[in-house]
Amino acid sequence: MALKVENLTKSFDSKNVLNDISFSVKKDEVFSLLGPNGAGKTTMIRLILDILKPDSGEIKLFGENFSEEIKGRIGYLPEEGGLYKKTKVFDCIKYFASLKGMENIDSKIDYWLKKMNLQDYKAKNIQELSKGMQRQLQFIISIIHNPDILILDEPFYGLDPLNKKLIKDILLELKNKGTTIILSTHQMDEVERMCGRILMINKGKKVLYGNLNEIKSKYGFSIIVEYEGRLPKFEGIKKVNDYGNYAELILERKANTQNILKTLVGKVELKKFEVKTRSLNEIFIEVVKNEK
Amino acid sequence: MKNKSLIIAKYEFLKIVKRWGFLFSTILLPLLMMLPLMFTMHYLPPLIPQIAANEKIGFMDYSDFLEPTQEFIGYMDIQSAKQALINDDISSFFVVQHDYFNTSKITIYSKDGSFFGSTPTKTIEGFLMKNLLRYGNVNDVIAEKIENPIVAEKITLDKQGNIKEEKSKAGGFLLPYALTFLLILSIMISSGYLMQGIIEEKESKTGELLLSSISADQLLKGKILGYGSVGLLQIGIWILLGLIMIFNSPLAGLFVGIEISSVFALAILYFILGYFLFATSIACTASISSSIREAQQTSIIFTMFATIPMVFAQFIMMNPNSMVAKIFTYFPYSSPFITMMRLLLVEISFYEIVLSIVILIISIGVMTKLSGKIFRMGMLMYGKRASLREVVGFLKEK
Repeated sequence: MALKVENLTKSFDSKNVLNDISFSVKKDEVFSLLGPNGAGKTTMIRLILDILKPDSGEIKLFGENFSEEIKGRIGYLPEEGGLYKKTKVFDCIKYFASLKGMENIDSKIDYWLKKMNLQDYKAKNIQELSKGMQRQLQFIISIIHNPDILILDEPFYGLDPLNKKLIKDILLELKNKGTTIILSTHQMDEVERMCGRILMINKGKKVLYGNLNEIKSKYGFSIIVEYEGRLPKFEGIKKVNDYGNYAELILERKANTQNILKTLVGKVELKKFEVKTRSLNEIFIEVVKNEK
Repeated sequence: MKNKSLIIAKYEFLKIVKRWGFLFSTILLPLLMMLPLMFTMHYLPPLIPQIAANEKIGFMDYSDFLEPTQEFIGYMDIQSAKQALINDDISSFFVVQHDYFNTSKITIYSKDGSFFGSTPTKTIEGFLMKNLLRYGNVNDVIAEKIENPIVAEKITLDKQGNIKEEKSKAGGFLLPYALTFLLILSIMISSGYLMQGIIEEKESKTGELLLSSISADQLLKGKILGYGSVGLLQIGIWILLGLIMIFNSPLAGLFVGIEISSVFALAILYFILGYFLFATSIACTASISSSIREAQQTSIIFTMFATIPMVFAQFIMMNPNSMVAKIFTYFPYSSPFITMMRLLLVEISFYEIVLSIVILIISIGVMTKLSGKIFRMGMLMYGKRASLREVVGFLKEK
């Protein structure tokens, strides 16, 4: 087990930010930490990184309590983290790498700058880089020391599709090499594509935890309909999100998809009819709304 | 693995000293200021007191080459010369030793009482040169003597004719003031750099990234060490430039006979302790502020503490053993400055110095504990000033 969190509780100024949270992350897996803004995700990450101390509960990394040695085995890409604007790209990477105990890594820095297409900016001040490039640079800093566990907070923020793909490919490479990845993001589509298991917290409480496919199947199915005309009334539908020519029908647990198709035929001009498990995005919204 | 605090210290140190602003304020600006000052000083009359028209100087010549004049009276033994000095028949006297032609050694005796408390060295030098030139056939030994006529040992006598340790009064007043000013300046400059560094760190939002690699205590230690070194370097350069200027100018006479090695050793100790106290305090205020202006406003209480010695300087110099002076000696935020100031004016008992250092060390321990917590939490707050309630919350953190 790469990470084991047990009965973690943290409060600030009598406000409970995390309440009795337990979960674990297996070695080599891509795990997602989800939750709306203010749910307690950042606090959770800061507790894992030992930046904050829990009020109660226990965190074990690689079966051990936090130590200086373990700090060097963690890579972290903070959501809000910045860089020293007046420092040169190469020097900045080298400085942060030295804090992780890395020495003689010039060639390694060159390798990653080349891989991220930033080699031309090596001797430039960071302030000359675009926001996306700075995010890439932060990503290099988080992985330069070959961490065993990588915690990424909104890693795709500010990246264009090409660089987003590049980082996703690198993450896959790292996973295949044995790195455990914890991903905190609001980009649910990325979570669905990359993560095997998730933990969703809301208002400091654990609301969803486990295998993503199992969670999705528990939340039933939905039907995507593209049509022209006016949608009839259905039976076995929990909710309809109608956008005019496009609708999403959220099914009740015992709904019969064949009957729904029959109801539609002849009533509207049907262009698309697709039965699918509910998206993580829908589940997220439903869970958060229900919690309110 | 290298000590992480040292990595931080080295990074912060190099970051500042490589800046043009630092080079300008440390080297170029003082040089530019020194040039006109040195020019003026070159044309100043020497501040080393010279013989007045009606004053006489005595001498005893064991090398047997001096001719008495109206101003320079020869004596046969030291007792009669001393008596003449006590009776104010002469303003000072000097003894030319047997080995003068080998060593250039003379001993100058003067009486305690004058403001400068120094000796008319230049006048004596002139008299010796005149006598050396009387030889006509100037050989190498004489030529060398003319070039460097005296190596003077200076002795001050009290009213009873007993030997008193000489301490230049002008230097005795100037040195405590100058040293106190330099201590305040160096501590404030270093703390200012620290404040700027923490605010820059907060503005660039690197706190969280750093704290994922290094503990808040290590980070704070590294910053304090790095910026402290910058301040010490800057002040060191200023002192060096200042000393070069002073000892190449007539002002040099004001510092004759002042024993400064032990004073400097204590000054360095007080700099380190004082800087640590101010640095940990200012680290707290900077880490809970979102801009340099806010940090300066919040730090004003500590800056005010540092001005105490300057505000009370005159009073403390006049009354170095008063209750006020003693209280400020024990108050940790003023003790580095006030103790140094008093130390150069009066004898301070050993226990007073030890007690002030112990109080300082305890205060640093308390502030380090508090600032560690406030700094850790404050560094994670971006673009927002922490409220008093939040700061109390930080202190409750484990």
